[in-house]
Amino acid sequence: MNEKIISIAQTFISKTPEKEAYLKNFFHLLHGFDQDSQKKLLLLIKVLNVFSNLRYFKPINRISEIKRNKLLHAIYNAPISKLRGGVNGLRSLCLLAFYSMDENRASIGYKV
Amino acid sequence: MTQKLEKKYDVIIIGSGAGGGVVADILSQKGLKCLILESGAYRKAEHFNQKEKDMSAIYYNRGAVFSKNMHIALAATNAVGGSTSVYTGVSFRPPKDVLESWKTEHGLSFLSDDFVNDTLDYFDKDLSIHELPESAINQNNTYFKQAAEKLGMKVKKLKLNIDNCSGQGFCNLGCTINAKRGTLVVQLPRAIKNGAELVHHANADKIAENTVYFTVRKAKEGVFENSLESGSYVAHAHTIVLAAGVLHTPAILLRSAKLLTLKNPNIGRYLTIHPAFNLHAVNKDKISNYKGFPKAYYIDQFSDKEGYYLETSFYYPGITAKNIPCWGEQHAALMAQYDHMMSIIILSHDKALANNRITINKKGQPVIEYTVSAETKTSLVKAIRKAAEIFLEAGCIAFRVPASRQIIGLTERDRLKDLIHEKYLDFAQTPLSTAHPQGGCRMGISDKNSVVDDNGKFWGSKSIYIADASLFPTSVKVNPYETVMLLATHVANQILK
Ligand SMILES: Cc1cc2nc3c(=O)[nH]c(=O)nc-3n(C[C@H](O)[C@H](O)[C@H](O)COP(=O)(O)OP(=O)(O)OC[C@H]3O[C@@H](n4cnc5c(N)ncnc54)[C@H](O)[C@@H]3O)c2cc1C
Repeated sequence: MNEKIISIAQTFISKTPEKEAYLKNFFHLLHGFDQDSQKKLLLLIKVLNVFSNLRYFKPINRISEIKRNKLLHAIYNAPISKLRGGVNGLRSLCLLAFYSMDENRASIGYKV
Repeated sequence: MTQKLEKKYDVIIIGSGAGGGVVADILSQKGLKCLILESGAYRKAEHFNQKEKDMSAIYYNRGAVFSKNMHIALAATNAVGGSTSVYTGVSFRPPKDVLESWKTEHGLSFLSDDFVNDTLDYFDKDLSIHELPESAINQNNTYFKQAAEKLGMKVKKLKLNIDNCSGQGFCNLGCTINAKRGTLVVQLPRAIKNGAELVHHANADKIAENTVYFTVRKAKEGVFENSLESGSYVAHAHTIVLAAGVLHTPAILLRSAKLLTLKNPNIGRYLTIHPAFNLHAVNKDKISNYKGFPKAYYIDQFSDKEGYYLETSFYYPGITAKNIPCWGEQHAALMAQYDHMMSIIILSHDKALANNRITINKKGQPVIEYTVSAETKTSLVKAIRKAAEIFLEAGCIAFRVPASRQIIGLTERDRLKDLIHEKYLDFAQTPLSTAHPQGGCRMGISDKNSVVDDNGKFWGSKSIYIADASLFPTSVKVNPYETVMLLATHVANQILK
């Protein structure tokens, strides 16, 4: 799961986060959500992986950045509203996890 | 096993936000023995650190409780002080036309000019409500004003309830120096001094006449020792005041349906949310918007005809990143210029409709059912276009906003109508945010179309009152906390009678 999260986050953020620290923050934030939302987000990652396997015969963390981006965009524009909303939810969490880390806040010019 | 609290209380107040805090303050000043049950933690200035990874824990679901259709992300606080512990302190009196319609169409005749003005004059003093001095106005606000005025718009100054603000920037993560005046800082400490008891981490599960069933969790954070151990409790009082906010007050009532033999079909209904988008744009100039007070100006000239307000705003990096509706290189390039960013929040007025409501799931947790109307959608798109005009006039060179599919810059100035369009607005992809939910237990003079009477008393009940934002019969159209405090004052006065 961790590899999949990192690969998806990388596509959203367009940067390679420091893996361990990023995952720690990702799960710290995720655990602040209610049980239902946590389950849905983790399930979505699994669903995205299934789509990747079906389309590219490889798990989502083993396809190229370009293919992952295409896949995420395809789901983000899917006719099922809950899927579009789900991708946005995951996008938000990935971005929040990255930009709420001290070193990343500093790198974009935020000064405490 | 449920333990019974032997102590007798005059009043048990559920929730310590804008409504509950005011009721506790007024009643304890008059010598009534109050017990305040608050489900969140007790954090004070020294616990706030302006870091969203820590402070987002103040909110339910990290600040985004999604509606069932995922079109709305609602921010509500789970902490002592309720949403007043994180609000920005923008202080609006309820508009005259709204009060007039509440009086004439909903029978709230107690809202006389004298009552409204006296009460709000009192809050002006108690909460230090005033306009910011020119010296405290930051660049985002200055650019907003100059640009909007160049475009012929009338810019007004906001009133704020701050005292000795040091301009740390991120009010919505809690104030580290208690500059923001809310129930956390003003009313609750006074109520406690006057004998009110506060139990935090105490979640009201169900209520019955004169009775509250609640659960106390072990406190992980908070300065104060909790007066009760973790466990299940039942407490009794002459009066019960529900002030758990728009999300939870209807949910508590619905969970208590059997105990209260509820028949009122209006519970949870007529929810309005003051739908909003936070917009960000990169300016050609460096802007230290994350310093100084984030909000100083607003524009209301489009309120009557087009149904929206524009206000200045600013947000911390994670939320800003979430608000920019794209990802990948484009997103990273915009975020890299965080220190050049301007920000505007658009707020649309939504109608109170019966089908928009709070209901509960099988676990008894609140569920938001809300469909954005076509009218609101049109108004939002117009507001985004107007904000875009201001950004461009202010010297912004690039932004990505909801209802558009591309980065917009100076060369697109004449094409805003085509580039920002309803056909591109998908609330699943770019959900609305709301920090101003209202209604759900509307006040009125008939149980046919309301949940409480004009004293705030639950229809058919002897002992249960409501005193929070869920009372609003319709949207108040402006930032709501002053109106919540106004109605809570009235309800407290009725309890005293
Ligand atoms: C980020 C943000 C910024 C805002 N900025 C402004 C602003 O600038 N100006 C303005 O006018 N308004 C603003 N608001 C809105 C304003 O804060 C609210 O309208 C107001 O606080 C609502 O008051 P309330 O009493 O209804 O609910 P709240 O203040 O939310 O209080 C409800 C309380 O009940 C508690 N509770 C819930 N369920 C239970 C339960 N079962 N048992 C015990 N306790 C429970 C909650 O933890 C909470 O503390 C803002 C809100 C937010 C979230």
